[in-house]
Amino acid sequence: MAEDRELLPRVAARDEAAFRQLYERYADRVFRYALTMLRQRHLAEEVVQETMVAIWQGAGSFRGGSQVSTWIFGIARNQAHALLRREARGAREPEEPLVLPDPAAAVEREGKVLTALEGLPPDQREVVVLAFYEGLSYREIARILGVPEGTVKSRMYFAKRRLREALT
Amino acid sequence: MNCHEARELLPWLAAGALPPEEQGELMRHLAGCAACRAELAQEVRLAREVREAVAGLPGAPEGTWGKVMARTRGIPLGRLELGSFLVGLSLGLSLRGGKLPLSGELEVLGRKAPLFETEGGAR
Repeated sequence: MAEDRELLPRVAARDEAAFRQLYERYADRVFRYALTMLRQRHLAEEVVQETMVAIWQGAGSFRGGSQVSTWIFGIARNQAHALLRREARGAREPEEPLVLPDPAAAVEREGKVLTALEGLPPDQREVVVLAFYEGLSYREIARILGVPEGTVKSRMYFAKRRLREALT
Repeated sequence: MNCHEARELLPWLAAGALPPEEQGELMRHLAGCAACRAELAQEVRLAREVREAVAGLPGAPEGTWGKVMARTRGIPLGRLELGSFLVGLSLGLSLRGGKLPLSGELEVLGRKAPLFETEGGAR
């Protein structure tokens, strides 16, 4: 299977099969990240669309200075924050809870974790999701967020403290 | 490395996202510090629970790919195929973002390669 780095030049050359492979690898991950940030499915889908269109248009500009995932989540993050600003200006629809009631014990625990995540300030929540769900290093997260590495570490510190309090 | 410095890095070790060059010193600290090992166990559990909970959220809706393609490729309006099964040229006209881009593809023995694409201008 082709590496992400091998797919981008093919996408730049308008290879739709390569673009589809990138979509399959990233669409769900970007959607879930956006959902934790925006908490509305139609907005999360919009982030996926905008991110993929930006990849299609900008694949040729990727210079390899970072991981492809860092580049893609950087785009997704910019799109998500642009939507947050747009929504803040207009009449914002009520946020949807991430958790749907389910009687199964394991799912109940997942629900508690998601509720605890929802309770975090957005800047802490995205650090937790990018680290624990996406497996990105603090350097990569600092690059995506455009903040110093120390800021990422301190956001993680406070987020963990809140999560532990909520989950014990 | 002291406990404070070690604990700053533990979440990324638990997430499997600590660069190898930073793992050595942390591992040496952990080998001699039971308190930080206990902290790591909690971090690993938290990281796993968050990963599983977020992975349990729904993925992108089924129609999303089609919407992306409509915006990148456009809605096909017409296609002209020239040549044979060995070598062929196809020209396609589509509607994309209010423009009418024309694209050409060369096909040799079933393998396609894009030749050109015009901007299409305003309608």
